[in-house]
Amino acid sequence: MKDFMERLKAGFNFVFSSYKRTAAVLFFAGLVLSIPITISLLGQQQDIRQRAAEGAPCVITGSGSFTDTGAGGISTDGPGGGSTWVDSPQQGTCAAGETCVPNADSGGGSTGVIAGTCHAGTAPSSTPTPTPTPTTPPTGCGSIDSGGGASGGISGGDSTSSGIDGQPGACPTGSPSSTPTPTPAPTCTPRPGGMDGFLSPDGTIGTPGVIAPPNGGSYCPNQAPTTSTSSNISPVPIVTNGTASEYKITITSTDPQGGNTIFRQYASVNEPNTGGAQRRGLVGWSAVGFEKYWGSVLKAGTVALRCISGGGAVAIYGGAGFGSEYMSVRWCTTSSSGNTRTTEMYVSFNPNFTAPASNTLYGFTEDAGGLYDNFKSLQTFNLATAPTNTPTATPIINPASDEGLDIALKITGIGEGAAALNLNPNPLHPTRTFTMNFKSAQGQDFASTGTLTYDADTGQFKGTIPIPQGLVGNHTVKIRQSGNSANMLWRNLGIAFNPSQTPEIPVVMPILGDADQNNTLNINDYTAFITCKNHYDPSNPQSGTPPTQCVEKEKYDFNDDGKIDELDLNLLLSAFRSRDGD
Amino acid sequence: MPKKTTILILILAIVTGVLVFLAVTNQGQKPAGPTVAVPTKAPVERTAVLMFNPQNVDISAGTTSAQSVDIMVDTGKDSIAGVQTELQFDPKALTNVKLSPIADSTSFFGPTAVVLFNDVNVTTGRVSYAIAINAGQAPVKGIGKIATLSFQKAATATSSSTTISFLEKTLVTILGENDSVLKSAAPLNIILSQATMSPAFVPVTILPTTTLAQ
Repeated sequence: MKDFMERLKAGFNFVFSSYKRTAAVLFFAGLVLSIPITISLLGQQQDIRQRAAEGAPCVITGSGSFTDTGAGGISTDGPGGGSTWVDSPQQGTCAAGETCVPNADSGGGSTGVIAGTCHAGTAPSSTPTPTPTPTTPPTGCGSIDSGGGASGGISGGDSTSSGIDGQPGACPTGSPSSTPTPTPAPTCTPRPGGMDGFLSPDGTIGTPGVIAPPNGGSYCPNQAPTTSTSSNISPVPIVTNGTASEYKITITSTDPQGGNTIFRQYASVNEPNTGGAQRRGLVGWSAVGFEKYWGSVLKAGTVALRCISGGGAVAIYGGAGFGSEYMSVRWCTTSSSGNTRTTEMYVSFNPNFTAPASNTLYGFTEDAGGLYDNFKSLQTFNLATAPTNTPTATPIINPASDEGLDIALKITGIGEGAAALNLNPNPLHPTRTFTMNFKSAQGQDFASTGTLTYDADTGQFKGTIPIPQGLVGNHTVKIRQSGNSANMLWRNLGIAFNPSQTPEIPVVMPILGDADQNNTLNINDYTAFITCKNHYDPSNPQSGTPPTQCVEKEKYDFNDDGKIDELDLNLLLSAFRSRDGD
Repeated sequence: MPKKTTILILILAIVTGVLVFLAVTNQGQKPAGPTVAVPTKAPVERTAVLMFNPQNVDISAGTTSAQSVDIMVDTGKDSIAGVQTELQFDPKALTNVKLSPIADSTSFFGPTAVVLFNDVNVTTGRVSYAIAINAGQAPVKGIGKIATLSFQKAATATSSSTTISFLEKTLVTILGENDSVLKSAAPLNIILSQATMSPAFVPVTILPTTTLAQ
């Protein structure tokens, strides 16, 4: 030991025998010091970037002037409700030095608790977000109101003016503007009713007839109101589960100021307000941001469902007299062209939809200027009982084809669309394996497996699935995703497939959320979801082995964006409207 | 070599060593944050009970007034996340059957409870209802009300009594487990007619509860 120390001392004396050698040692020591410091700084920087990229959710409480994202497609608490589903907070808090910043809002209706995102940097403390100063609306019409909740969205507010939340109010003398530029005050008052002259200053149905304008003004003589022009109801053999079959109700409406100014369309079966029989179902579509009108009338246990294209959402109305026991709403599409808006509302009739067989379909349309027509009879249809799809047995017997079935499949939450729809255009798993079941009339099952690949242009998964050899005669065909991340109910293609034919298969809309793959959505699937949502919450990282249900994280990441968040929760809650697989 | 230089070198070496140690060990650590109860893998003990309150009702007086009963849950030792009730009634004996979810401040699951579905099929006599905690909400333990069921005596009722019973698909769930923690569920006993009732029948008698399969 003594010898070692002597040698060490001699070495030190050599190294530090001159200033040059001392400087060299210090330089070397500095290099060594820089290594851990650099590692540490890089690690911190990566954490910050990762948090910013992930957008870790956080809690913002209180009811200040803030708004939410309008995400997710579902809102019982008003527009912009996706991230604040039934006013529940997202869990978690931000790390030290980070700020919980509220998400931007496209609508209102938030009450007290709202989603935000953790960002590095100083916080605006407990104030949820910097409050933009509301633009002073010009007199008359045309003011911008981008939403507003009961407790005060800063960019909205529960408007009681004739301006419409989320859209510029329609001016009788000009087209709607997307900017809050001052609009000349109208010299006349837009007629508050549609073709039928109904008055509805507070949103209720009034008495038909000519209504005197308020404040002694005059109606605009050239103000042509909006109106429902036609409807069509037709069976859509996509869903068959033995209890209900899917129908498509198409409402077409026109508005002189453009179909894009129409923001509400309804379809009512046997509307009593116009002398019809007992109402047997009322479904309504509203543009994005207007779901707040549904807050008190949604059928218990249901939600408003975002349209898969065109924006807005559709809902079934509950409560006494709405007839929600006869009908369920499933999904919707909407589009506008020129002065026309066409909305497709897909519904199913419940088993207690029985006599009378003759029913009348009524339409109702309202535009952004507050003009609307009354429920008007558009079509009579016959439906004595809730129909089920029974494949037609045709005696065609041919050898099995070695070709495949071309499948296009639209997964809720994935695809291109308006930002408010919160669709994920870039799924992390663009290629997926699906299993198809062919069941013969005699009950014999055949299975086939193939892959579908995401098509960014259409937002659909497409591909060809082979037809099993040996099929003879007609078969019902079902499909669902297979593999460890499978979470879909079986979905009937609604065709009577025969291998001798090449059927045209409608786009399949699978129902997600069946984590345990028992082909039904129940409380177990929901409990598993919230278990895993808690486990994978980036703001509350968990250590240790995930719970059994959470090993396959992809099962619960319905929109396939790598996160299990409120958007996925909304998709799951939407899925509960169709709980049983085909 | 000067002593000061030696001391400086030693200090630098120590500091370097400490910093290297801290930098390396910090890379493996996750940022600290609020902890959330991690579901444990302890064996599931079935202690939850579902019941009606009251458990026996008499609607023999007439068919005009609606009778309401509460659906209650007693979680026993478990903290539960949700309840799915699958009820069966005789549609020939009962009419106007409605289930009103309790999802306000009086609800067992609190005002943020989520009603997943509430379907009454008057043809088959099936009531399907599910209510649960919201995501991020802590599981709940204790006794409380989850729904109110109302009904009337049907004009077509012919039997002297009927029941509304829980089916086997009734579930009580906890976080982190696939298995239901439901231990038993007692049916609702309803007297429809006093005239044909056996003298031995005592309306307030609580019938044996149905113990679901383990």
